[in-house]
Amino acid sequence: MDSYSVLFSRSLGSEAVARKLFEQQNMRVDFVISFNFIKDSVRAPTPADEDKIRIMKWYDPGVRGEGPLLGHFEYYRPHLALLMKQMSEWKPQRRGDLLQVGYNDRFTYYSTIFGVSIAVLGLAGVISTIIGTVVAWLALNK
Amino acid sequence: MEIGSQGIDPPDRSWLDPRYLYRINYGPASRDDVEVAYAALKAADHLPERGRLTLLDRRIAHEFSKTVFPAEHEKWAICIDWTLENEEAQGQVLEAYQHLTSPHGRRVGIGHSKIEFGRRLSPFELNPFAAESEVIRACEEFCVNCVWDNKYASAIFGDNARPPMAAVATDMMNMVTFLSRMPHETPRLILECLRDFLSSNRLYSIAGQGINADVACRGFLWDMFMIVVCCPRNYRELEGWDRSVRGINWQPYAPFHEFRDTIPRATDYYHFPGGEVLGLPASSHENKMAGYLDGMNADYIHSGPYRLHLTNQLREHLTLDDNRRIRLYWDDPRLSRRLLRPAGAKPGRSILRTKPAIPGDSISLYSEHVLGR
Repeated sequence: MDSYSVLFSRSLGSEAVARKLFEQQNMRVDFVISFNFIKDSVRAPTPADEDKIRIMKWYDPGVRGEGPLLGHFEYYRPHLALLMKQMSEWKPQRRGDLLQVGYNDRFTYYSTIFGVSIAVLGLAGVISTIIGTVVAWLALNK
Repeated sequence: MEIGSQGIDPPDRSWLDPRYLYRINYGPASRDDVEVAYAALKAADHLPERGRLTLLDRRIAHEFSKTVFPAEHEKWAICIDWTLENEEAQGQVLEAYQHLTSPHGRRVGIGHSKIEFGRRLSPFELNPFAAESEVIRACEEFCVNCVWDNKYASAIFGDNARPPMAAVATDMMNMVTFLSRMPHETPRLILECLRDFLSSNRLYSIAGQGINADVACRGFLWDMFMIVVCCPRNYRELEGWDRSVRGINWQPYAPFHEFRDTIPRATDYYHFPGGEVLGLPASSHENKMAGYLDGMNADYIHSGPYRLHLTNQLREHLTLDDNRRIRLYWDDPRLSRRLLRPAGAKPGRSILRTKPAIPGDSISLYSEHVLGR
């Protein structure tokens, strides 16, 4: 399925996700350049094949020669478009989501996190200064 | 000359009798004959055994396979056409499992692949290298487990008479031929298609006149339809049952069954041609939607709130569930290739491979299906 190629074969991190996902099904994942459908259809599986699932790599100049586009998907084009929309429009809905990074505008998220960190550090500095001042004042008055 | 038994116990093959096979295929057969077939199927739950059990007349099985998969000249479902490629595949199996030899030098069975070691397949068995053979197996099991049960579609068949296996298979072939010749520009409700089929064809399995066409279409014909489109379901899920299914506790299903005629069924809202039966979405060929799928990357998805999750339901493929999981269809053979099984039996599996080789393996079958458009 092309959706597997798009999702799992375009980076090492995605390949690791695929391996982890299928590990739960006791399956190993093999990324291949192309399927030899004719040969595979008559070839008997070996014991090693039994627990292996093969995913075709997307970037194969001989087969595709271009990146993934919605137009490559005849049946699942609306599904993919909707998923992309849901991903880009995701917003925190629960308190626990506040620290969850979304898919859209990550620069703003990281800027906010950075700003909050600076603010926390500043606040900590102010609090420690106040405490230091109070302690010094108490020591002075003894 | 005398041929001794050499201490070999013959397998229990009470069904392997030409007169018996003739009776169940062309009639007349008795209730005892049905029980023999039922017992044989139940005993053949072990897959290599099931591959060797061919109840349907081989000539009709061959014709059925050719009708459903007309392009599959080289790997038809029944091994009557044993080819050099099958021979080569068998050789590869043997070679691959050379190491599976017991300490006493006795060759052991081929673990997961379930083909016995060193045994050449006879030219009359179901082809273990062709997933297409499952349509024949499903047809045989549908006849034995359902059609020949008194509680299945008695409004159509009556209380006593049941059609022979060849009649049911021939009707399935005719249905496939009829559906393949239908104009496919405008999808129609499956109920309408089946009504047309019923009115324009003489069915061998339904002898009597004056049957209720809607009951036949929503029950027996719909069940046949699901088999010819290679989407066999667990036999207790079939629509043609009257009130009970052999071997299972029917009580929990009874309230639903009582009112089922008032509930719209799949025939009333699924269309043909179309992938709804399989759970495929409609084709977006005319849809001009465009865009680059840069963000559809597992690594990127997992860096955010969503996670990828495998599902066995094709209709859930690439959809988001309530738990923020993007579902991906993976052909779990326990569900995607299940056959009509007797109650209590293990779910069906492919003869050779118990797990799919590539994602979507189970639906790749439809590329060669005569109705796979």
